[in-house]
Amino acid sequence: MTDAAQERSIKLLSSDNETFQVPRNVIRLSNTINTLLQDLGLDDEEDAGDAIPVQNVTSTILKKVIAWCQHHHEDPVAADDSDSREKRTDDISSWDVEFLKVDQGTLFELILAANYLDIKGLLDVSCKTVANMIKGKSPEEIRRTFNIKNDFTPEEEEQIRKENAWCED
Amino acid sequence: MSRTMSFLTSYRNNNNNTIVKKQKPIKCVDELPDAVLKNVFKYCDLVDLSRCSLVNHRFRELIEDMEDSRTEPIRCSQKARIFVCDRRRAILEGVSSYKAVRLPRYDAKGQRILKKRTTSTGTNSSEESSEERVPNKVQNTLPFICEQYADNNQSNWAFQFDFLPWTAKYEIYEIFLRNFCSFFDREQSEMEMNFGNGRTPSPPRSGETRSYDKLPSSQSNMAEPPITSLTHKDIEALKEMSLGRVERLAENMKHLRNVHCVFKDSCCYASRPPVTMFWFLTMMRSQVSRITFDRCQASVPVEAHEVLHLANIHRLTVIQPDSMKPAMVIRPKLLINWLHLAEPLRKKISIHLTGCKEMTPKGLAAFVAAWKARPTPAIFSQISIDGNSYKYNDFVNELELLQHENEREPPISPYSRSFVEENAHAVVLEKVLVIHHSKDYKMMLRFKYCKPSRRMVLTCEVDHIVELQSLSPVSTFSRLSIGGGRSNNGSSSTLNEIRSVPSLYSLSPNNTTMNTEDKRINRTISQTTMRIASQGCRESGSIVSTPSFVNKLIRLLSSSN
Repeated sequence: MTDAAQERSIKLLSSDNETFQVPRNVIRLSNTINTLLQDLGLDDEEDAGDAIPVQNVTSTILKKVIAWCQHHHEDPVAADDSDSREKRTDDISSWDVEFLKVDQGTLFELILAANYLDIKGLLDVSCKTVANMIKGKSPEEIRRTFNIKNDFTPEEEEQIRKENAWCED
Repeated sequence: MSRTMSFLTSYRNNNNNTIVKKQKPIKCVDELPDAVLKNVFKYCDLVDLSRCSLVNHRFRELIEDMEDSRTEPIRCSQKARIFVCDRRRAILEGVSSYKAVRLPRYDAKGQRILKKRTTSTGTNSSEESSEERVPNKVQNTLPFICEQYADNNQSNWAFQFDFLPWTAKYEIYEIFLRNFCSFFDREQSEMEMNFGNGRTPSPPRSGETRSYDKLPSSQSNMAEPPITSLTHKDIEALKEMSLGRVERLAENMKHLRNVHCVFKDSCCYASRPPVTMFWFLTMMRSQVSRITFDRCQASVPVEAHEVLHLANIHRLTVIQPDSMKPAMVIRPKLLINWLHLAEPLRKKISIHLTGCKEMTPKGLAAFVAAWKARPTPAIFSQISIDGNSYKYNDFVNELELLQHENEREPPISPYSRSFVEENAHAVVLEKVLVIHHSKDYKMMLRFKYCKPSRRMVLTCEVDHIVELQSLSPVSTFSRLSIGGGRSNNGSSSTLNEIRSVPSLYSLSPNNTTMNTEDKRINRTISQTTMRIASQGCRESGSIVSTPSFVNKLIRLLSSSN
C-alpha cells in the first residue's frame, strides 16, 4: 500500500444512510473493508468514489466503531492466540473500559458490528466485557443480568440438579 | 456500489461472519449469533462455563458443542471448599466430583435430535444417547488439592490470599473458617501486657503457633466493654481492630457465590468479639447462602437476632458449645425477624438448632402464632430443634394452647390431655401437630418428633387433603365420621392430625367444608359435634361410623345456625 493510499479517506455508509469519512489507515483495522479495498483494487483509485455500504450497522454504532479504530489504529498487531485456552479478561485498557461503559443493547450492537466488519481487537474487548459481566455470577444472576428466560423443564432441572451447586438447599 | 455489496456478502459468507438480519436492535445477549456467543464463552473460565450451561437450553447446547471440539473438559467437574486455617494459610479441599449430564435435544416439531458430533480427532460419531455420554472425565475426590500461604514479608500479609485461580477451576461450595480472627484475642492480650500501646497487629511470626492451651479461666478481663452489636459505632471499632484484615478476606472471596460459610471454634477466645463473625457475614451477604456456627464461643455472647440477617439465607445451623460460653444466643426473635423479611429476600429457609436453650417452647409458639397471623404464609423448609434442651411435651403443650386460643375455645384442662392421661413418653413422641394458616388453609405447619435424628421438627407443607377437599363441598357428617377414633381432647387440630395419617386419606375424600370463612363460623358447633360423635364412635369401636339419628340431628342444628 502506498503512502498516498494510506492518507486517503474512505467513505462508509451506515444502514440509516449516513456517510462517514474515515482515514484509510484507520479503517485498515476492519479486515472486511481492508480486504474489499484490496481485492476490488479500490486502494489504487485516487478518488474515494462511492461510499461503502455497511449494512446492519447504524450510524450511532458506526460512529463508535470508527472512534475505537481511531484510538487503536496505531496499536501493534497482536499475535494470533486463537487456540490458547487461558484467555485473560482483566487486561482491558482503561480507555476501552470507559469506551464500553454503555448499555447492554449498544454493547451487543458493537459486538455485532465488530463481527461484521471483522475488527478483531474490538470484538475481543467487547466479548471480554460480556465475559466479565458473566464472571462469578450464579446461573440465576446471569439470567437476571441479561434478562434471559429459564427454558429448562422441571424434569430437566431435576436432571441437572445433581451437577448444580445452586439448586441445593 | 453493487460490486462492493456483492463482495461484502461473499466475504461475510466465506469468513463465517454471521450477522443477524436486524429488524430491531438487539437487547438480549441470547439474541447474539452462535459464533459470537462462543467467542464470549472463550473468555469464561471453567466455573463460569459450568454456570452458563445452567442458564438456558441455548447456552447449554453451545457449551456442549464447544466441548465436542476439545479433548479436555471445559466445564468444571469438582466442587471444593476453602479451609481458612488462619490468617496465613488456606487450603483447597475437594468435596465431591460430579459429571455434567447431557440433556436430549429436540427440534421444533418435538422430535429428538440425534446429533452427529465431530470429535477433536476429526472423526464423526453418532450420538445415540446424548445423556448417557459423559463429556467430562470424573475426577477422583481428593481431600487435599492445594494450599497457599500469605507472604508475611509484606506489610499487610494477613489473609492476603489469591483465590481467583481456585475459583476459576473449582466450584467453591464451602468456606470453612476455623477459629475465625482468634488473633484478635492474642493481640488484645499482648496489648494488655504492653500496658496499652494501642491496637496494633502482632509482629508477623513464622509458624503462627496457636495458643490453644489458653484456658478460659486464664483469659484476662477486657478493659473495654465488649462489642455485641453492629451499630455504626461498633463497626468503626471493629474496623479499628481489624486494620483492614477481615475486609481483605471478604474482598478476596467476592467472586464466590452461594457458599456455605462455616465458623468453628476450638476454644473460647475471650477477647475476640463474637460480633466479628457477623460483621464478616454482612460483608459476604451476596456470597453466602448457608451459615453454620459450630461451637463458637465467647466470653460475652451476642444476641443473634440483632446482628444476623437471614435475608437470602437458605440454611442456618447453630451448634452451641458444651461449655457455658456460647458466642451467640438464638432467640425466637430471630425467627420472627425472618418472618418479617420482604418476599424476595425471604428464602425457603431450613434452621437447625442444637443446644439453643433460649429457643423456648413459648418462643416457638409465638413464632407459630406470628406465622399464622400473616396475610400470606411464609414458606420455610423446616426448623429442627434438638431434644436436649426441652422435652417434646413442652413444645406440644404450648402449640396446643396456641391452637385453642386461636380457635377461641377455653383451654382444655390438663387432666383431659391425652398424653397426660396416658403419661407415656413414647406415646407423646408419636403425636403430630398440624397447624393451618389462618388465611391460606392449604398451608400448614406440622410439628413432629423425628426419632432417627432425635430432633423436634417443625415443617411448612402444603395440605394436599385440603386442596382436594376444596374441589367439592363437604358435609358435616363426614367430619363427624372422621373425628371418630380420637380421644376427647378433640379440636380441629385433632381432626387435622387424623387427616394427616395417610391410611385415613381414603376415608375422607369429600369431607370437611374447607371454606375458611365457613369453617371459622361453624367451628365451635362442629367441634362440639365432633366430640359427641367421637364419643359415640369409641363406644362403637369403629373409626368410621354410619350416620346415626343423633348425628343427623346435630348436623341439621348446625346448618340451621
